[in-house]
Amino acid sequence: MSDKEWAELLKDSPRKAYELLVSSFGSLVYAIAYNKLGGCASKEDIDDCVSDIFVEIFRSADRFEQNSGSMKVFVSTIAKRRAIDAFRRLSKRYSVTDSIDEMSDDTEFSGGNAQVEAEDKILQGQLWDTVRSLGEPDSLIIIYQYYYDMTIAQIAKRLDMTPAAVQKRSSRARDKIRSVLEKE
Amino acid sequence: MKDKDDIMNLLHDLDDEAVEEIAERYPLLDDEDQDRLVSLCLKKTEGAGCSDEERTGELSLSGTEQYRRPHWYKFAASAAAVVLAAVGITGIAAMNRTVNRFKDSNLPGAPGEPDQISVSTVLVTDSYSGGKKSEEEATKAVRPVTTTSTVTTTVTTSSSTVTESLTTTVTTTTEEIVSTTTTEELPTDAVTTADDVFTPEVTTTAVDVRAPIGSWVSGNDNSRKTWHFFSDGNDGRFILDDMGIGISFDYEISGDSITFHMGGDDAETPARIEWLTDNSLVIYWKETGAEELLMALPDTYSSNDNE
Repeated sequence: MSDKEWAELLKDSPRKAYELLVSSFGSLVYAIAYNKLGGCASKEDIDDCVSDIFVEIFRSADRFEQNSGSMKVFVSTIAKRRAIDAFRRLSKRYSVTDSIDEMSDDTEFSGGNAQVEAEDKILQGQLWDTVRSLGEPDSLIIIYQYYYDMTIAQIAKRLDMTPAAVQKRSSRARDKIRSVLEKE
Repeated sequence: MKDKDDIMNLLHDLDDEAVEEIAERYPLLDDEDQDRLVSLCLKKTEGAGCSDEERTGELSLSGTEQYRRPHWYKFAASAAAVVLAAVGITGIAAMNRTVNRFKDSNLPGAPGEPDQISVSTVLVTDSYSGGKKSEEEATKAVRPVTTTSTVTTTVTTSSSTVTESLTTTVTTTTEEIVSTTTTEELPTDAVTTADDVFTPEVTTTAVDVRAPIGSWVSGNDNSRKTWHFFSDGNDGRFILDDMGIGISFDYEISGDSITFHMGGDDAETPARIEWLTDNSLVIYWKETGAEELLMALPDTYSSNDNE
């Protein structure tokens, strides 16, 4: 679908627009929302944030036309900004101790934490590479369990496996991740 | 890496490239999730006053369903009306009979009054030949209400002044019932005898109860838990090894269901237990997922140590 067609669609009926937006960018928006909010927000909070993002995309049709950029970039930008807003709001509600400044798009180093942050980033890169190398379905299980915060039962249902099998594979995958990271 | 929480922390706030890869390789939404999200967005759009042709349709259709009265409703209502009428009329008849019997006892052998006892027989047997009134008179009274024997009792049992008004009422009622063909269904369904009273059969089924008595470990090397299920089959103790904290619990097992009462708390923590082998089992917590337990080495843990 071309960007021009997107611009036309966003002016059309909400239902059509939302159906196409969600089927095209639903997984991307959820991935962005979980990236910012996972581990500190409930599933309902994240659903709320994602729906806010799509409503804003729909209402920003004129802005998209003016900018005439890529629809994916447009969606990602709104999603990231909205997710950060939601994180700030939830941080106040749940008294999350993470620094809000750390969540801005342009990360600024804050003195004493710089070294720790740099080490974490290296460790994060190693972890991500290890998860990708696990292969299916182990990488899928780890992502569902630790990125999307799904329960063993939910993962088992989605992957058509028994919970015991999911639990075993998760445990083995964690051992593998640990051994790889400890070697580094 | 300290524990599994580190995986969760490190797997967030990833760079854009990684997030896009997660969205493509590990998509979260299925069709049902997409429909739910679209509905949520539409609600928010409508709630904020967005104008659209579809908006009206959405609002009027959402959560509404045209009510259709069940087919049996008319028959049941008619049957209920007949039963109520019959009960009321029978009650009046019984009351009159009692009053008249009282009168008879005070004024024995009063001439010209109908014999109330024989009228009562007419009520039950649907036969008018045995009454004190002549057959012709009884038939005349009964004809308008040919299908319902109970109703006719009003005619025969009421006093002469009341009879006319009651007869008129009853006849009208019965005609309505006949026209809706409900009276045919009444006798078999409406009458309940003492023999028909339902007596539930009590059967006992043996339930396979297997308590995981002994000591078990769960978790990994960094966050290991030890579970002691004592030999009494009701009590146990669970220890967070790395923190050195122990919590006592009671438990009840029925089949594959197990209910924990942790730390003296009255609240129940339900779960399901599945034996993988004699030395391993999985507890499926209702709220928090599954947990695999492995039998501990006998020389490491004492299965009957209460403290």
